[in-house]
Order: sequence, then structure tokens, then C-alpha cells
Amino acid sequence: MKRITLFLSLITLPFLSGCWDQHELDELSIVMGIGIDRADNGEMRASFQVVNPSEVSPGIGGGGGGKQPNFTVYTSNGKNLMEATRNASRQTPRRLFFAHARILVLSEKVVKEKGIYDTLDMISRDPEVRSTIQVFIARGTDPGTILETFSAIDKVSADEVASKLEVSEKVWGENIGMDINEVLQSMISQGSEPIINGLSLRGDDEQAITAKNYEAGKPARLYLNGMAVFKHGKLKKWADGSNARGIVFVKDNINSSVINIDCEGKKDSVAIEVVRSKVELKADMKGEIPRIKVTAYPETNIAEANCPADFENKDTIFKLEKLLNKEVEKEIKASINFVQKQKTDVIGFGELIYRTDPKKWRKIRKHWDKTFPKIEVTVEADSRIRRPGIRTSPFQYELKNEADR
Amino acid sequence: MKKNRNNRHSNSMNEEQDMPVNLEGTSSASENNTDDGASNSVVSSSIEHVITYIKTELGNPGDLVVRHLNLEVGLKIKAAVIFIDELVDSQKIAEFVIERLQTVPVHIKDMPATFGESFYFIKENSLSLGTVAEIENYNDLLDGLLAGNTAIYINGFPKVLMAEAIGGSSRAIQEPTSEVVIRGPKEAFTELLKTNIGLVRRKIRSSDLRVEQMKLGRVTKTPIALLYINNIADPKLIEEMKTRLERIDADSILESGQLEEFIQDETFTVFPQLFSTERPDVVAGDLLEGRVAVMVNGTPFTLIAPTQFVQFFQSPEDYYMRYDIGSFLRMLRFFVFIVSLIAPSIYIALTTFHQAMIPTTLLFGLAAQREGVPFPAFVEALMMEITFEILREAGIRMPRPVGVAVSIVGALVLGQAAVQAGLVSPVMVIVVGITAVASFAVPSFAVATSARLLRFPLMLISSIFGFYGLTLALIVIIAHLTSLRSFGVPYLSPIAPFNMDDMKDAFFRFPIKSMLKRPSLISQKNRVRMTNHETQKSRGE
Repeated sequence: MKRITLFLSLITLPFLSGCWDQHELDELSIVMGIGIDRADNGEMRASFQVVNPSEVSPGIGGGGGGKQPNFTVYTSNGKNLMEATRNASRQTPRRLFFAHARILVLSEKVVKEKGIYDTLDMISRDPEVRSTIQVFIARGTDPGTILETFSAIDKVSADEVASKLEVSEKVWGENIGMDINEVLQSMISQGSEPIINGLSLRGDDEQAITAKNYEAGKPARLYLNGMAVFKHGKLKKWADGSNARGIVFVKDNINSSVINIDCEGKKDSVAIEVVRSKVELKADMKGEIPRIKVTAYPETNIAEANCPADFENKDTIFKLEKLLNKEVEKEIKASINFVQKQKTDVIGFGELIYRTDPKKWRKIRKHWDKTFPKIEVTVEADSRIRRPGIRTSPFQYELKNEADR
Repeated sequence: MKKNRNNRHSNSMNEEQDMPVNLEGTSSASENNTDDGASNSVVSSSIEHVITYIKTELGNPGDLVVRHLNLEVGLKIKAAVIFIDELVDSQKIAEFVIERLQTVPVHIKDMPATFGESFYFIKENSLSLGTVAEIENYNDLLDGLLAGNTAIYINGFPKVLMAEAIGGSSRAIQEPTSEVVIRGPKEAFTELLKTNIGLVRRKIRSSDLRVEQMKLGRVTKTPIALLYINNIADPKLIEEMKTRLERIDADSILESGQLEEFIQDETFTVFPQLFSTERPDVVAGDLLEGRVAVMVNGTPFTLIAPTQFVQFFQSPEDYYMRYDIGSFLRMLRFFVFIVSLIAPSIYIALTTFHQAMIPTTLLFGLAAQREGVPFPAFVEALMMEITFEILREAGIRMPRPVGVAVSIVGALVLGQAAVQAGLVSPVMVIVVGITAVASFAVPSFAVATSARLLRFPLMLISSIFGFYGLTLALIVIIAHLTSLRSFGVPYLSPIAPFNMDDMKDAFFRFPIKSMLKRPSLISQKNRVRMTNHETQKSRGE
């Protein structure tokens, strides 16, 4: 009899979903994006973008489609992030599941005034959240609105934003992926400060958070907008355009980008595609204030040429290379000037000095804020133009030749 | 004496006579006839007595044929030809026994003068069958009759002639049904031991091929043959096999599966410890590796010992095709075995514990499919697996004409409709389908069955402990496999204990030229299979 009872209870076991840590897929709310903001009363306000799987996956589920939104955003308050997260359970029908979250959006206002420190611990501590979650700062808007914005191509906007960053990082080079791990690393390590990508909304704010947004011909869109330069955990300044790319260049994170140079007296008429680049940083520890030498080795292709130049002549190419060197040097120099002016070492010169001469670094470290802007930086570029694409000289050159004849 | 004859015959060129001569139930039957009622007394010299005795002992069966003859062999003799219908080849009896007895060779001058003399005269001159023996007691007489021999009794002499004209209906040699190959011999064993031994002898025409016969089963007296190659197989192994066979004291051995249970090393395991095959080429190949084979009359399945786990993943075709495709297919089979073992468990563990490991887009799909499924993933998987097992069992057992109905119900109703009714998610159908197909791709049915049985506990464990539990369970299974032995040979060899030379024929099938030696743990002394062609060539030039 006892055996029968044991047997029966064993059989019923699988039907009872009481096992620790076991969650069926339909008991989970898959969070794709997390937003962190402050409420007016100073409490932490967390937003969670949660996917509606049956709307997102193709050909399965409810049918019809469009009856329910692809995702929804829950917002809740708490004294800290953990409290806000658990507080959200009053609204969510299922357990929030963070393993697939791709973006973490912080509020510009909060990181400017209160700093970034209080927001990151739980995200990096929770075993569920991946350390590859990309960190963004909502620039000119708030995290809630960013997460609520409906996207046009990918069904989930958090997914789309993360993909945007991946693509732009590969081909444009004004932004680099900064996941939570890298942010924390650059905050902790000696003599370096984080830079974090900015994310803005362009278009009609009101329309962005309605389902109409992806039906509209001109939807409101999220786009990457510069990189935030931090100092002591607070947002100091936004680095935009060539400043941002210059920083990425020095940090040796350029995958590919486009640089314009003059040709035959025509301004910005040749577009050079950087295909890979290597940067060497060297610290010269002689003297009281260290000197740093930056050498960049970009490898490039000619991508566009709107001038009558003879590319079959190697001297033309050498000339272009020289111009390109100048252009790169100028850009890098400008960006270094920019960060020195902000007195924040996002490039990691301090780390470089620490690695070169730890003893000296210990001396400099205390007044690094004052020393950093004074560091003399020389920039040199040694670029190579490898291939002109599938044609050699531009047709404008041939036109000119015809005319001359 | 019988042994000598055996050897002489096997050396002769005649293929018909190549078969081992065994007057079934004549000599060896006396070994185990301890309790079967019939007395060991000498045959009476009166025809009435003998016939009455046989009829009484056998219960006067309808299929017992007693043909009385009045012969004139020097003197007038009453004789009888006795046999059991359907066990004998009646054509042969009519032609080579009865007709020959009735037409006495008149040209011989010394006609016998006594019953005894005429007995031997008939034995030597009047029976044109290959095998004729004289027997003296009733016991052998009955056993011989029941084994399908024909008794020729001459009145007045206390001996009986036993002629072998075994016949009756038997299945022809057909293509194997459970081990199909595209390239390779297409013959399979039949139910007749004689035929089966012949099939192997035709492949290995060596005087070293030894066939030892015995009978097992107190009631059934099933003929059994032990095959090995004298200089290759380890004598200790042969001795061990013989001991284990002789130890069996059972009423009946009807199929080699029953025999397998008697002689295997470990009873409580789901893994088969003896390899069984219905292909003569597989038996020949294994004998040449130094293994021994046990054949049982009445079944085409031959047992091979010792057995290694990797054998179940070797198809004879591996050796007939090129080594590259052979190696690829063999690795595929190992993979497929693992799939059939753990595919549902992985699905359960992934979807209930480790959702973080699923690619995001796939997770959306899976989550959407799970939407509205009322059961936990484990129950869902269990339902589908059991349904599949039911279908498979029904597919094997059902009468052929209803087969169509079952497949329609199975495929359409249970697959499609279960999804539409919201009982299971579509991806579950895929998982079960993959598992099912994978289990059929394992060449050995026996080891596919092990995977089939282990699947369920593994599913349960991964539904409770996730990958952690699954990993532990797999470790336990591997530990168990390592602990198994088949006739003293580690089951997991050559993987554990590791042997580089033998690995050439484990996960891969190396080119035949490179497999110079026989498996190390099986053939102990005579290990060299072939000389190294490469070195030979270089020496010659």
C-alpha cells in the first residue's frame, strides 16, 4: 500500500509545476528593453518593454495579427531598481524574464544630475540579465518614450535599436557598442571614463507611441545620436559627429567608416572607405607631464570620386594618401582636444600611462584631472589606399581626356 | 567417431556434403535424456513389439507413418520404414529408401543368410542416402524420429537403421528484413540451423572454421551450434562460452533471445550485451575478428560474443563502401543515437529552465506556440512520445490490411489534430518526429531500444533538474556502460579502456589497408590480419 502511494505521488509529480526555477514558456514575460528614470518624488522609475510572442512570431498564434500590440511597456516605481522591478508584478500577468533584454536605456536628466552609479548594480548583479545588454542614454527624451516607440521594420523596438547600433558600428563608426560590462569596466579601471551611446527620437512624439506609428508614411524613428562623455559617473558633454568618430578612432574601435578628402582642388570630392584600422598609443614618460604619441594606420579603399584624377598614376594615389593622413590626423586631434577640454579621460590615456609606468602613475593619479588636459599629444597617420573598386580612374577623368583631345 | 567424420566432410569438395553431419538425436541425445520416460533398453527384435512401443510412447499420433514392407534379401524379411510425416522429405524416402529396398540387387552373389546379415546388407547396399546410422536403444530411436530421421527396422535383429532424410517445409533464403544494405550480400539466415551453418561455411572455406553442436532444452531439445575459427578465437573464450551454454538447464530454448538472457553477463541493464544478426556476412566478419557465434535452430538470429558497444553502430555496409563515406555514416549514427536518446529531454530542459539559451527569435516562436497549451512541457512531451510508441507498436503488430487505417489515424489525427486542438505545440511534434526518425537510423534495433527506454527517465529528470539533471543522468549512463562486460571484454572498449589501434574501427572506418590488426581485446594471440601493403611494395621495388 505504501509503495502504491509512493508510486502514485511520483506520477503526479510532473503535473505539479512546483519545481524550483522551473518556468514554462507561457509563464514568462520576455523583457527586451529596460528603461531607468526618476519619478518626480525622487523614486526610481523602471520601464520594461515586454514582447507579446504570438504577435511577433510569424504564422503562429492568434491569427489576424495587429489586434494586439507587438509589445507593451510596464512602468513602476520603487526606492531602488529591485523594488521597482518587483513592484511591476502588480501590472504584469507573468514573471518578468530578463535573459533576452538587449538594451538598457538611462535617462539623460538623471545621469546628468544624479549620476549613473545607482542604476547599474542590480543589472550587473542579476544572473538573468546578460552582460551583453547594450547601454544607451535617452537624449532629449525619456527612457519610457523610447521603449514605447513603435518600430517600422523589426517588430520589437529594443531589438531594432540594438541592431541599429550593430550596423552603424560596422559601417559608420560614430558609435561603438557599450554593454554593461564595458561600462562598468571603464568606470572601475584606473584612469578611464565611460562613453555611452545616445539614443534620440526624431518625429512626432505623440504618434511614436501609438500603433499608427508603423502605419504612417513618415513614422517617428529612434536613431543613434552621439556619445555621452562621463566624468565621475555624471554625464559631462555629448560628443557628436567627427568628435565621436575621432574618439572611436583613437580607441581603435573603427570597423569601417567614410572619410572625405579634397581632390584636384575640389573640396570633399573623394570618399574614402576605411576597411580596417590599427592605432598605436605610446606614452613618453620623460618629463613631469607625460607625452603621448598616437599613430593610426588606416587601410582604405576609394569608394567614390567626383573629380577628374588619374588613379592609374601611383603619384595621384600617394597624394590622396597624404591628404587622407592629414584628414585623419585632424579629426583625431580635434577629438583629443575635445576630451581634454572636458577633462574626462574616455580614451584611457591614464590606463596607458599606468601600464607604461605604474610608479609614475601613482604620483600623477591624484591630480590626474589637472594633468590630463595638459598632456601633449602628437598624432600621426600612415594610411594606405588599397583598391579603387571595380573601376580605376573616375569617368570624369575620361571626360576630361576626351575634351582635351 | 562423429568428429572425425565432421572434419573429413568439411575438407571434401562437395558442397552438399560440406554441411556438418549430425544424426540428430542419435549420439548426443543420450547426454540429456535423464527424465523422459522412455527406457534405455535395447530395441526388441520383434517388429510388432517395436511398432507397438513407438506408438505407445508417442501416443499413437496421426502423423506417424509406419510403412510395412515384405523384402526378399536372401531370405524373406518383414521390415518397416517409420517416420513422422512433415519432418521428413517424403520424396527422398520414396525414392532412396522404399524403392531401393523393394528392388533387391540381384547381381550380388553373397546374399545374406541371417537377419543380422541382411541388416548390414541393407545398410550397405540398399540405402542411397548420405547419412545412415545404426542405433540400439529405444531412446535414440524416439529422439531420432522426433528430429526428423527415418527409422528402417528389419524384423529379427535388435538394431534400427536411422537414415537422414530431413525435409518438410522450410523458408527459403531471403533478403534480410532487419539489417538492410544497399551494397553487400542480400542473403539472410533462415530458421534451419543446417542452412545457416552452410551459409557461413560458404563464406569461410577454411578447415579452421569449427562448428560444435549441442542440444539445449530438456523438452525442446533444440539443436545449437557454436561457431569459431580455431586459430583466431581465444580458447579461453570458447571454453567460457561452452561452460555458460552447458550450465543452462531449461525446458525450452525457442529463440536466440532466450539463450541470450541465459548467457549474458549482467541482467539488470537496458543495453544488449550480445550482438545478434541475421546476416551471414556479419557473422563471418565477426568470426574473423576472433569472436564466437551461437546459432539456434528455429531462428535466423545468431548471437555473437564478445560484444562491444561500438559494434551496434557498425553496419556491414561500412566495409563494402569507401572508407570516407563509411566513416561519415558511422559518426552520423553515433550522433543519431544521441539525438534519439536526449532530443525530447533537451527540449524540456531548454524551454522550462534555460530559456536564456534559446536564440531570441526562436524563443518568441516557441513561446507563441506554448501559448494556450494546457500542460507543462514534460507532460506534453510524454503524451507525444507515448502516442508515438503506441503507433509504432500498433504498426508492428497489426494485421496488414488495417495498416492503412492506422497510418492515417496516426499521422493525421494525432499529429495535425493534436496541435489544432491545442493539446500540444507544433514544435513538440517536430521534436518527437526527429526523435522517432533518429531512432530508426540506428542500424541495430537492439541498441535503438535501449535509447527508447532511457528516453523517458531522462525526460523526467530534465523536467525536474534541467540540464544539470540531464548531465548527471548521462554521466550515470556512461559510468554504467563502462562497468559492463561482455565475456570479459569491457563493453565500451576501445573507448574505455582506450586503444589507438582499435579506434580505427570505432567512430571511423579507416581504410582497410590500415587496419592491420584484429581487435586487441578479442583475439589475443593471432592478431595480424594482413601484411602492410605499403612496406611490402617498397621492399619489392
